[in-house]
This record gives sequence, C-alpha cells and structure tokens, in this order.
Amino acid sequence: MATDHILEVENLTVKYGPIEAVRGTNFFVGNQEVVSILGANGAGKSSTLKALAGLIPHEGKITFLSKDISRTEPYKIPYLGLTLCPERRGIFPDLSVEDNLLLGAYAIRKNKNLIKENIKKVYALFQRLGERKRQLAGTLSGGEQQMLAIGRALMNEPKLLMLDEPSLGLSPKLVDFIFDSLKTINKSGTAILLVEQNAMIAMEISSRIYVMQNGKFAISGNTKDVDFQTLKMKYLGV
Amino acid sequence: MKKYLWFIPFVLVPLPFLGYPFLLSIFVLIGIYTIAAIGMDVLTTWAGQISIGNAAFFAVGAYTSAILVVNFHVPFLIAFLASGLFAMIIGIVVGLPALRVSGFYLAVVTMAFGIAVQQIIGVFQITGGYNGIRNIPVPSFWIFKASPVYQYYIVLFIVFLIFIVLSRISFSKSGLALFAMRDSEIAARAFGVNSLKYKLAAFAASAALTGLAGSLYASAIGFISPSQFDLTLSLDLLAMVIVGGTGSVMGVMIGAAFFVGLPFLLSGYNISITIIQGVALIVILLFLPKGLLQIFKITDLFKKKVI
Ligand SMILES: Nc1ncnc2c1ncn2[C@@H]1O[C@H](COP(=O)(O)OP(=O)(O)O)[C@@H](O)[C@H]1O
Ligand SMILES: [Mg+2]
Repeated sequence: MATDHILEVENLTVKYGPIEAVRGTNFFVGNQEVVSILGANGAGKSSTLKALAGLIPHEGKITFLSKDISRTEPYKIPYLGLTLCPERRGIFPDLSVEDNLLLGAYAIRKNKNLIKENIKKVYALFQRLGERKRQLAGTLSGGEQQMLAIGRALMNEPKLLMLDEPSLGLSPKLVDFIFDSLKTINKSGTAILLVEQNAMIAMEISSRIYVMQNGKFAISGNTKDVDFQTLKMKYLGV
Repeated sequence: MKKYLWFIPFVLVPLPFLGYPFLLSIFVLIGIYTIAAIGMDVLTTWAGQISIGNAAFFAVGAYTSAILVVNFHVPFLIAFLASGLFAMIIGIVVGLPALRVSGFYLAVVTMAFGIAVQQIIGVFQITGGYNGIRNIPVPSFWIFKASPVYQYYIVLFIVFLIFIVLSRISFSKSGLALFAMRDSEIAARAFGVNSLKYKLAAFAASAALTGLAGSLYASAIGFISPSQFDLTLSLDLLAMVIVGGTGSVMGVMIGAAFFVGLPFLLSGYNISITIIQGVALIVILLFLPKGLLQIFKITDLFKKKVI
C-alpha cells in the first residue's frame, strides 16, 4: 500500500439482507486529495460512506492512516480523524447551533483550547452560524443547516472529511458557496471524500472521480480525462 | 444560582398546613412520585427512550427497602440507598438486552418486564406473596421524628439534591452527548458518542431514581403488595411527565400533583376519577402540548430542554 494514501479500501461489500448495495469496491484517497464518488440514486454511495464510518455491517478491508479500521466500532472512528458529514445533514434539531458544534468536538473534548480555536475557525468560515449560535438548529434554513453540518464535522479536526450529498436540496447559489467552502477546507490540509449526485459541481473540485452503478464502479479516473456529457448520459441517468 | 430559588416556596408550603397531617402526607406522596417521574423524564426527554415498565423499578425499590427495614432492621438511610442501587443493577441487567430495540418494541419489552416483575414478587415468601408486607415503619432520623412534616422536608431535600445533580449533568459534555443521541443517533455515533453506553446510563439512572422513590413510598404508605405496582402505575409515571411538562423538575412535579392530588380532591364526590383523569389528559394534550407547565409560564430550569 502506498503511504501517500490516507484511505485505502479493498473489496468493500455491504449487504442489507439479500440486497447487495456495495459489491466489492476498491478505491483510495490520497493525502490532501479531493475525491468524489458519483452515481444515481440507489447506486450505493451512502452505504459506502456509512460502512467507512463503521455505522453499518460490511466486509472488506479499510485502511485509514495505515491502520486497519475494518472492525473498528463506529464511536471510535472519529477519534482517528475520519469524520462523516451524514446524508440529509443529521444535525441535532433541539440543540443550539453552538451545542451542535460542541458535540462535533466530542472526540477532542479534553482539549478545551483546541475546541475554542475550532469554533472560531468555523464561525470565520460560516459567519451566519456565528450570528445564530444560540438559535435552535432545527429552526435554521436548509443552507444554514448544511453549513452547520460541515462546521460540526470540522470541529472534530478531520484528516479525511466524508460528505454525503452536501448539495442536496440547496439552491445553485448556495451549492456554489458550500463547494467554495469545501475548497477552502481542502486547502487547509483536509482530504475530502465526497459523495454526490450533482456530478458537475463535484467534478469542479475533485482531482479524481469514481462513478458508481449498482454497487460497483463503472468508471473511475482523473476528472480531466472524463467526458462529462457521456458520464451524464450513460451513468447518471440524467 | 437563580434556578435554586424555585425551591424556596416549597420550603414554606407546609407551614399553613401543620395542623392537617393528612394534607401533608399527600404533599409527601406528590414529592415521592415526582422523584419517580423525574426518573421517567430522564429516560424519555433526555435519552429519547421509553419504558412502560418503570412500576417494576418502583416495586424493586419498595420491596428492597421494606424487607431490609422490617426483616433485617437495617437503618432506613442504608435501605434507601440500597433500593436505588439494586433497582439500578436490575435496570442495567434488563437494559443491556432491551435497549437493542427502540420505540414500540422497547415499549412492549419494558411492559413485559413490568408485568413479569409484578408476578414474580407475588410468588416469593420473603416478599409476602400476594399479601405483601405490612407495618413498614416510617423512618425517623436523629432529631426528626416520624411525622408528615419531617417526611415532607426529607423528600423535598432529596428532590433538591436530584435537581442539582441532574442540572449539572445537563450542562456537562455527557449531557450534551445524551441529548445529541436523542436528536440523531446516527450523527451522535458518527462523532464518537457510544450510544449504547449513554442509553444504558439513562436507563440505569431512571431505574435508580424510580427505585429510590419506591423506597420512600413503602415507608410513607406503610404497606405494599404486588397489586400496587401494576401496569397502571407505569403508565401514570409516563403520563405525569407528559401532563406536567417534559424536561423540567417543575413540570413533572405538576404532573405528579395532578395524578396524586386530583383523586384526593375528588374523593368526596361520587364521580369516577378515571374518567376525570382521562378527559383531563385529552384536554391537556390538545390545548397544552407542552404540558401544564405552559399555564404557569415556567420556562425550563435546565439549559437544554426539548421543545
Ligand atoms: N437500510 C437499508 N435496508 C435495505 N436496503 C437498503 C438500506 N439502505 C439502503 N438500501 C438499499 O441499498 C441500495 C443503495 O442505497 P444507498 O447506499 O443509500 O444509495 P445512494 O446513496 O447511492 O442513493 C439501494 O438499493 C437501497 O434501496
Ligand atoms: Mg445516498
């Protein structure tokens, strides 16, 4: 295994009873790289991320920072710096914005100074969160909730940030803003594994892509080598 | 600090009623049910779990305490603490398998547990079978003699202690983890919260508080038998939280007062208490979804309350 890969996945399989949602995929993410897994609804993208976060049973080998985490319990994974920003955001609606962020720092809860610093960073990146820190998260707009979900993930000091459809349900303008933020996050040294149906915007920030179809990768490669039109017509069903 | 001031009126409450020991003993009962209802609140409002079997923990506490005091002449304070501890242990033993399910399934599992405990208590010799245990002495501490007014202050003091502890937990990292788990279990786990551990802790705390209440109940009433710890009690504990207002000690106290006080208020009249309570329950749920607490305009005393 190449040591410049922060994440290395071999033969990942996820089954829900008789349904095989992910069928023996192999992929990797390089240090400080942005990689996207694209695919239509039901392709197996979310299942892939949930398996990496240890949240659902899976087979295969997952190596993160040269450590085998295939059997690691889910609540231990964020301590390693592998953080999932879940599908549909999964914010805590009855907690305040700031409490949501604090919970994101649960794995580094002993380090009070680091938490303070991270909160400042998140408010610098998403000013609207800072203005609404005492507001209940459930009352935020969709875009603000997505900012909160990403901000909360950043609180954990991720080395690899996994995002499940951050563009879901957002206006084009907000999508642009969110993806600009992802670029900024990546520049500061965090690798990103992105799952998206919105191939165009995802390809803008990714160096490589994997296109998923029925639990397998139909094509993969450098973003610049992939023709967007064929991709759209053949694999994404749009 | 300000939130502790809420307790001052309760210190003064018994003064006008010193000549009415019967009324005072109703206040004592309200306090005891408040403790049990706080136990339910911790499980439901804080941890997002449910139990329709908490009468079992109430019974475990009552019987542990009664047996220790009556059969083994153990001082009440020790019997009291032992009741909470034993109920907590049973809570962990039951919670470990039961908490793998949630929602309706957990409701049914805990209900079955509650009914089973009631049956089990009925067959043992040491628990007095279906006849129960009689003549459980009212505890007397040091200068405090066995009278309702002292009982009142003892129970109030215990409620106050519980309030301080819970309020501290609600501001802590553990409290935050618990509330997050309630809001979105997947996300909480994704950020490092060991959800089974927290659920179990909430279940154990709920069992312990209910057990402590059971212990106080046994000595306040002086007589216990299996029929007192039936499914109705479990449902009442749940309803107290909903009627009064979730997520605050004041809310569940109002709920407890409603369920304990109403039957006494109506006992002089020839009307069915069950019907009155049922109608009141429906009216409250329809017009005051946040419970009676809403009328009194009391906001939550904990920082992170469920809306
Ligand atoms: N909890 C589940 N139980 C059964 N099948 C599931 C479950 N979650 C997802 N699936 C199925 O697995 C397949 C992949 O789902 P998912 O990973 O959510 O796809 P995507 O995120 O790419 O839309 C779909 O066919 C979906 O119906
Ligand atoms: Mg998905």
